[in-house]
Amino acid sequence: MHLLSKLIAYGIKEFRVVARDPASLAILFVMPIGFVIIMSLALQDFFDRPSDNTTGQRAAGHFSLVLLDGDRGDIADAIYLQLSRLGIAQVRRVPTADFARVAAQLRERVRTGKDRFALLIPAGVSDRVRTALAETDPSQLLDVPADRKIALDLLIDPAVRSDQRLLVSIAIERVLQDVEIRQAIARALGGSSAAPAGGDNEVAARVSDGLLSLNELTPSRDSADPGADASRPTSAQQNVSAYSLLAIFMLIVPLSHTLIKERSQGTFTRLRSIGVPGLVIVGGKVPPYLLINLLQMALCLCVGRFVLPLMGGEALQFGRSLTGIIILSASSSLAAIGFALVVSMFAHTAEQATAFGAAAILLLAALGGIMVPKTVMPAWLHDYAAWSPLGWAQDGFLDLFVRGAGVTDVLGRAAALLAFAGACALLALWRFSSAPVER
Amino acid sequence: MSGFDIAKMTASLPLVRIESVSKSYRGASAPALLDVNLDIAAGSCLGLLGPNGAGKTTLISILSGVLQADSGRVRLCASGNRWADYELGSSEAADLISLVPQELAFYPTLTVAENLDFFGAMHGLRGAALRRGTDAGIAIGRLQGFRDHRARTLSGGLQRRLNLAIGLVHAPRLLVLDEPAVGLDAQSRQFVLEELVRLKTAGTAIVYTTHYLEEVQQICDTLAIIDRGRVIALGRLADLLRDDLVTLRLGSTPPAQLLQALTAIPSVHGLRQSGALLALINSDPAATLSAALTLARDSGIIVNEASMGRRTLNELFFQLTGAQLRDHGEDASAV
Repeated sequence: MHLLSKLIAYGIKEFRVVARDPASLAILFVMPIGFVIIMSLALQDFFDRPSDNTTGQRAAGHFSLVLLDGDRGDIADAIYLQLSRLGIAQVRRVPTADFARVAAQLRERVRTGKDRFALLIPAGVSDRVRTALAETDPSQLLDVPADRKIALDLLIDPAVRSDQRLLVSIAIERVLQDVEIRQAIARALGGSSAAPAGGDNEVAARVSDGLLSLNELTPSRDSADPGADASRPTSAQQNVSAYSLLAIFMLIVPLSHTLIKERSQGTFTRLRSIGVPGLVIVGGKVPPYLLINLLQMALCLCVGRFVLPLMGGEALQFGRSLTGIIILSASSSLAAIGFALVVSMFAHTAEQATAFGAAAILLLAALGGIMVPKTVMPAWLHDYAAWSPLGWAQDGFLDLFVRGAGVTDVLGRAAALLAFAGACALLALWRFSSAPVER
Repeated sequence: MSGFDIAKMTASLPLVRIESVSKSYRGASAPALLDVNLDIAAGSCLGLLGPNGAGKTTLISILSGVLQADSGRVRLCASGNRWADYELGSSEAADLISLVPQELAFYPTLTVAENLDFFGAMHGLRGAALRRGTDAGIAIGRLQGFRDHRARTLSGGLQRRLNLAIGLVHAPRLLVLDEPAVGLDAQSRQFVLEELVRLKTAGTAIVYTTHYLEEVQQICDTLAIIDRGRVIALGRLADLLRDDLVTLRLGSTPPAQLLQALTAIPSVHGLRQSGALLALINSDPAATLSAALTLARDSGIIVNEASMGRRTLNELFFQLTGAQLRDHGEDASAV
């Protein structure tokens, strides 16, 4: 009971100290709102409009494309070969005899952003193409009726930019046409699958509505229905959460300032002489900063939803789980408070804490897809991005906003953030109790 | 052993007993404290005197539970004249002992009352007890007119009073003050010293570190002189200042014949000379002084100053350490 009343008293004190520091409040509230508005409007075109082909092709080349091969026949061989030659993506072929199960797993991986693209080739496609070619008059191949088409599913991560999405789907369609043409020509020539001497493009243009077709699917939480299409990320969805998270973690500036001042001005010495446990000092910092962080997030979400449209931007779509947003915001805040406490406890001066802390946060933000979306990062950088707590939080928000995730889908990321917060708090407590007293 | 146990001679236990306490800091060439023994009685004021780096702050940090001694122990007297079994730094010990750090250890953006409330709550006071503690702190610091003023808007003297008042919010039995009058104007210093005398009279024990001799002489009953981590003198102030040495400050450097004549005085056992300053070690100060003045007059040497029987604190420190108190070299590793 004593501990609880001390915690409450410490929390009230901390809230008063922060509330009476206008410079810190300006950093905590004005900065993220400014960033959200400026970055969302500035990058609107980047997210919504395809870029020029050169840039797009270069960007798409960083992606891996999974080719799920349930067919294990000539058609799958040919598609794999052609896609690999095209060089727009790193093609990973996954042959399987258990197509339905692996396809379901793959759909989940694409939905959660673990894979960006997946082309599904079910069992028997090669046989069906051969049969169809045998039974169809070559002249009808130019305009195959819908009921006779053989459709392949292309799964696309909802968070992929529209221009990259377009580029990859056009490239795959082109490959399908090419394969179909080669099959048709091979059949006409009596079994050889050699390419005709030139004129591919001309023939391809004529079979633009041919036998093989492509279904573009962006899997979402509710889309066991393969035709469902989740919304694509907008500039607001990327930037509102990104810069709110940056602001949440930037609380290291005011928190370290007050904590180091307490230490250097002898207040810690006084508190230690009173026998105030480290738990009160560390725990008492949490409620006011948690509240401030939640207010920051709420304010930024409101700006994204209501203010951006007034300024010509697209309104932020929250997704379907407000609880998920609250849980993820709170766990991000606790991770940020933990990190700030550790840095403050180990730093000797407020300048040291501010400089190191801010630099570390900016680095983790860059790595975690805050400043540059992860979708445009090269694949090798994704491994390092996994080390950034800001990245965990940002991925969680994209899951909620873009991929239609619910509460249970973000619990894993929230748990990771809470584990990070807990580890930081333990380290800070240890440092508080073992650090030499300021003399 | 470098101290004496005054309270051991009385029947009741002292409020605090420091037994053989030693402390070294990592990387330091010499210990910060070495085998320190002290007793602090209720209603007394112990002055801890020493130059910067002597070990004063280390000792009061141990006493207030902020630092742990490497060896030795500090015992606290619980009610009923028996030793308490709780540790320094525990909330029970904190109810007895209050540290007032040298720094202004409060929150500048909180008001006077909010600061007192906060530290009272950290002592575990709640409700009516907390309100009483806050009111008492405001009364002790004579801060009635500044209750709702933010601490940073107070003058230096008022801030120092607030710093003291916070240490008294829970009515401790031992008040440990680390140079509480540093940087104060004469009026505020006088206020602080008067308040401490009042508290002492009311039964609060006080440990007062300083290197201002006048403060010690004004409020302390007992004095411990610390140098390089050791207690080199401990006792009642009057006892420590009593001196049998006869000193003469002459108008010019004495000739050899005069020095010979002075050492030939029957009660003189030795003579120290530093220019025109002479110190006669003797067994009868009155007879020695009389004979020395006669010899000086007969030699035609003017005596500017002569003293016997009592020395100043500075002289005591000089005689004990061979160094001036305020000019003593700092040992950054010690404090």
